[in-house]
Amino acid sequence: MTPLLEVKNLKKHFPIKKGLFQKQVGSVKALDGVSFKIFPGETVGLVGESGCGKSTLGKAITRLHEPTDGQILFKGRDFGKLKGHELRDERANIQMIFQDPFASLDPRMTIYRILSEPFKVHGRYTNEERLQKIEKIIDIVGLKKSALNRYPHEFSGGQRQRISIARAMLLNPELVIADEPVSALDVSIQAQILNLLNELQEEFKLTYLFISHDLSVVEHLCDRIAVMYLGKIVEMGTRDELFNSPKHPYTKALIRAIPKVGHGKQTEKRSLSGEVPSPVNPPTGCHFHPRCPEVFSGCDKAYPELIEISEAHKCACFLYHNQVQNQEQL
Amino acid sequence: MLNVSNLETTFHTKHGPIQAVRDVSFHINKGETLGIVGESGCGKSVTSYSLMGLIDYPGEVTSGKAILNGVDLLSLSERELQDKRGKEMAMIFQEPMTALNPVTSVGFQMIEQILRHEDISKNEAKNRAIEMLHLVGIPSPEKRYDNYPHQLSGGMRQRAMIAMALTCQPQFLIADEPTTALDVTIQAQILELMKRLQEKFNMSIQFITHDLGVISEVADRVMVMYAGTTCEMAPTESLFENPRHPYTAALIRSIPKLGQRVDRLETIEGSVPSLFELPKGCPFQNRCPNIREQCKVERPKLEEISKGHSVACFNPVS
Repeated sequence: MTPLLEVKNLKKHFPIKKGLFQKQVGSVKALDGVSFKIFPGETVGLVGESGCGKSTLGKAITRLHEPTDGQILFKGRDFGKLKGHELRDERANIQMIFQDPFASLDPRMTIYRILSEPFKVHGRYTNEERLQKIEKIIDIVGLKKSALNRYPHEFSGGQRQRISIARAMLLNPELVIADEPVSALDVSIQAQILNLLNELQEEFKLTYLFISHDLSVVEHLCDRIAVMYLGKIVEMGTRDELFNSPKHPYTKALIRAIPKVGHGKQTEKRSLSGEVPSPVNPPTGCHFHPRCPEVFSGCDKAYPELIEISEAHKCACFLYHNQVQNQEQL
Repeated sequence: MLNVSNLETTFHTKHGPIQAVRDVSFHINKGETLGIVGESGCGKSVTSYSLMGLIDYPGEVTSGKAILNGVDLLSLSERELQDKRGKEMAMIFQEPMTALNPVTSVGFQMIEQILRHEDISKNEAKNRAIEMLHLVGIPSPEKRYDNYPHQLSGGMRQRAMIAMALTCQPQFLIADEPTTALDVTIQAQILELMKRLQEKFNMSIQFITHDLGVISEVADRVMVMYAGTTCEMAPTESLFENPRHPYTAALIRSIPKLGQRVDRLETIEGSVPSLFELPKGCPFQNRCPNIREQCKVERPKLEEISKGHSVACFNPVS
């Protein structure tokens, strides 16, 4: 099967400028060589802690942040090289849902205007057709028609997130990038939105890239999951592989650190020591080695490549490099 | 240790008064952690602000008692409260960047408090502050003492705030969503730290959060709040294994749990009623699957149904 989206060695470095002449003194390596594929109809989860580059990756794919280097292939076409109206036309197929529904809806527009904006930008349909389509989508996301004449502040957080989901669906996109769409919502509302995303996926045959820091939400929704740490993917695998037999020490620590419901008071020590280092000067070698409980000599020398350790499971850790090499020699 | 009865806090808004907290009673034993959970706007933060005397105009604590060590906190003057805050009771907040003063060093903020409550020299106070920073696991505390809050990372700031809250070794600590703004691996560190310090100082903690996972790991007992009232209170295990209030039960079912996969999450239909237009009777009636006629006219009271397990519902889940 050909992938819907293929990202090859994507990099995004933000320059740090200082002084009178704004000389560049360094760069934040928010994305440092990320490669992966998304196949039609699947949901790929992207997890990691704040500052690991997961949101930058979402924005770099839609080119809201122009990538520094690397390739973005969308349906086999080089999306990264498109310009002008070609870029605009193709962007209709890649839509985004943002985290904060309070910031992503213009407070001075009625819901009808907000939802007709995508049609205006792409010059699609007549006014009557637009209204018809908007009424249909507003019903699908579970709001009433009367909502169209109201303003964003009149809605609760969950309803606003439904509106921004409706906006993303209007142009019949193929790929939807959802950047923490439920983290600003209350628990009982979260479940409603997650179910809605599921229903929409079936109805419109969507492909999702789901960005979240919440592993339990990702486990619920995603078929394949990529774990990021300091601008790189450290592990990627199917949901079963990743949760049942996590390989990278960081993934293991992340899964251990999630508070679990109904397991009683925790007594064992299970936190990682230290904090996420700055992406301005990441540690030498493997970025995770200063915090890694399984570190050994050599980890600080070179960065381990992301290698396939079994079908549908990739990991960037020297612990598994030797294993794979041994197997190859045999 | 702390005994709160019939707490009621009202905000006088231009659209009329709203009761953010209505008839809330609970107690916390020595060395115990009471978790308070609920969604935004349920009154969990207002409850703790009321205890600390931090409710400002247009809000007002309109009735109730909160007895800490034999003294009613709600009847104290501002001056008397200042003697208690920091010394007998302390609070840590969600967002350490806004809770700390950005224009003075961490050390200055710490000794300010020590000197307010204790009659010791500045040097002694400084040593005490550094010792405290060391205790919460801040590396090179002597250097960090002179740092300003913006020079610390999020996790370090939260540690500094905990150090600050505990410098005078209060017996009662209110933690208002202390880990919500932090990453999971840092959250695990902070929760471990709090547990260690609680044992060391034999503190009672009132732990407020919306995260059921966190509460299930830190609390001895849990109080669930909805629209300003308590709907269920129980020992943690009993609450998660055998929730009796329909809201608690639905809330627990609606969160995705690691390792348990379902095709569809159960949801609680509708949303929390506005405090301006609270229905007569039970506040949860419009979303409740177990509704009865009685629920629409009468508000259920919190009643004990088994040892230590109370619920405010006419038709509890069995």
